[in-house]
Amino acid sequence: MGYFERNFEAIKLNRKLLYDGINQLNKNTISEKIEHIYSCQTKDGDYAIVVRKENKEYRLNSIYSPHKEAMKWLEQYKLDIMDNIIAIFGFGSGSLANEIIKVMHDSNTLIIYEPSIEIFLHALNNYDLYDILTDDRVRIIVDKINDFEFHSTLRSKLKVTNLLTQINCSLPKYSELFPESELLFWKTIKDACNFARININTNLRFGNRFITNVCKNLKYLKNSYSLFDLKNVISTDVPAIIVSAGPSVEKNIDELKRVKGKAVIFAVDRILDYLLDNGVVPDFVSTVDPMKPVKYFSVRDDINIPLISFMEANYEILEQHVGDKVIVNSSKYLSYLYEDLNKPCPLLISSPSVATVTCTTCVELGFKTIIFVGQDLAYNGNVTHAGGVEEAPRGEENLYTEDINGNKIKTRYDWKEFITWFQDLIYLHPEVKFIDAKTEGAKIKGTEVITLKEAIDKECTRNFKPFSLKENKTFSSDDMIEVKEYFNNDLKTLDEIDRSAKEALLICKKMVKSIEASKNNELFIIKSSEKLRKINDYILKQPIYWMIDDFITANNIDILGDVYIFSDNIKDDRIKTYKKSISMFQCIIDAVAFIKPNLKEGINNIV
Amino acid sequence: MNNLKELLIGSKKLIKITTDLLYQQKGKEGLANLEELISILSELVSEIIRIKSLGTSINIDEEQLLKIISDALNALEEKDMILLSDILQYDLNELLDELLEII
Repeated sequence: MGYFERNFEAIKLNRKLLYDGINQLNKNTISEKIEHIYSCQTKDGDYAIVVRKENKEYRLNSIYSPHKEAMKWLEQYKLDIMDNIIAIFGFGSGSLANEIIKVMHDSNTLIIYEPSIEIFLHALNNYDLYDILTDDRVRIIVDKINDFEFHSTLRSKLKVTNLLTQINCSLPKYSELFPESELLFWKTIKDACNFARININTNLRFGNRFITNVCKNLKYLKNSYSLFDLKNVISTDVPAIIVSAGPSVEKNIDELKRVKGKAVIFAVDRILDYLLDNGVVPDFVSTVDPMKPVKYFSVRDDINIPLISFMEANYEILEQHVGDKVIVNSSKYLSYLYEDLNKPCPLLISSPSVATVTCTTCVELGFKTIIFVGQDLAYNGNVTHAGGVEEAPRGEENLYTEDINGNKIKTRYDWKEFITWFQDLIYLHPEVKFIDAKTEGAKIKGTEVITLKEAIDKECTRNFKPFSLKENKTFSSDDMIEVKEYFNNDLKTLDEIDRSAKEALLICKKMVKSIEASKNNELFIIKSSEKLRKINDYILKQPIYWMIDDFITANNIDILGDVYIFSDNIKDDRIKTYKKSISMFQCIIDAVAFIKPNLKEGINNIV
Repeated sequence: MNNLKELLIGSKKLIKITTDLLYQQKGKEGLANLEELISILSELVSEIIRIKSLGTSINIDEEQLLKIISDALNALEEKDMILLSDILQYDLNELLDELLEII
């Protein structure tokens, strides 16, 4: 078997998107900018890639020893930091990647972006890439094949613990060969960092509120339905229409009235009153934000349209709403409860807006056609929402995106994020037809842009079968006895966590004192570390820890920022580790003090 | 000869520092060190000429040295820092090692 066959087999078994992309390659995909690629033998018997572009030759590796060059290059980085991300612009012959995977920590992710299909194919044909291609810590992204994976991987991997330690760099010569792609590489990293910061800020802002909401919303478990219960009864052979709050909804009211019964209408919380005021009654309304003001849900107190919601959504809105509640995300903490009671657990992936969550819900429910209405994602003059609402700009005066006609249109940073998110979802679901029913506004790649009238005439041609949730509640009365018992046990677990954290805190204090005094203390440290490990293991494996984790992220984020950064001085590192552990255990103690009364109240409210 | 030996050892140290930086794509710092390297290499050549002028024979392949310098300058002109590092790290270093052995 030659290099290509072996490499390609490894791709087939380990990298589906890349494999599909390579199989779909055609001549039009190949860039014409590169004139020739070949490999020359280096003085140590290895090979180096040479690329000719615009009559100039670029050798991508050392002519003497690509291996030693890679080793030298690696010396500048610390690759043993846990949970880190290494993003490299350029794959070349894979010599650098080969060296990195030998030394990087098992918890690290190596993301390689190759801007040239030709270079990648040349490497597949001429180099043994088996170890790289079969290493699940490595993501390989090739321009025009699976470039979508670059930003999605970065966004899923970047977090508070590696934002400061991530390693990003370009291979030699790649900046000269592919300056435009390199710019895009750095811009994608910058955007992903911003995205991570937004997530961190969200956790900072909402962490405590997540806990309060989940506890206050426990009482709705009794009569709740899950995403799966809804999936069992809903008709998905007609389109779903997701009505968001953009200004263009105003132009579509008559069409929305016309389509009632021929498509399942999902309204986001903020557009509900506007629709009701104008005689459109949606089939579902959704809310997910932990602190969305009630006035942005409804001023009415008789809303009985089924509510699609997260358990972490604002409890005040769930209180205001008097109808059936469909839980599409139970929170990680409650997932253990569902599991304990042998119920399929709704854990819909969280995303940046109520509209994106509603869209994921529709995909998960199995709709094959999804129509967006009011998903403008751009300013209409100064108007931001239907009903002539003008929200003040958020410090991004000159942010633009492409509109549906190919022109520039003013947008907001959060709307841009939503566009990216929709595009990713659309990419991942080629089986679903997405229609963006609007005549102006931001372009969402992958959607068919037509008017709502055209969409209805084309797609909504028959009435759907009415459905009822009534017989499909997730938890029976008997189940609810177990549910209450489950939470009561967690109250006891919280007490045990509190006791353990206090013990661990004392151990850490003694260890810091001992190390600072430079006593001959190896035995003491080994014994104490073992005790701490046991306590940690106990705390971390408790389902309630997921709530504690929310609290820690919100209240002690500075511990997490450099938690995996160590110096070369063992004594200093030990002192730093145990001092951080002191803060961490104190935070766990504080978390228990915050969660316990909330959970108690939540249990008492379960009737 | 002691001065020549010191210059050879000093040159080799600077070659390592310079090429490490250039292989790591730290062009600015690498080029700053390259200036220092050129300066010490000039001293080295002057010292060889001085010793030779005193009638002491030093068996150095001058053609090879000139070729290395010419290749290095070409690489520098082309801004090919990896090739420049290769030339310094392997060709020049090898020549300096040979010289160290014979003095």
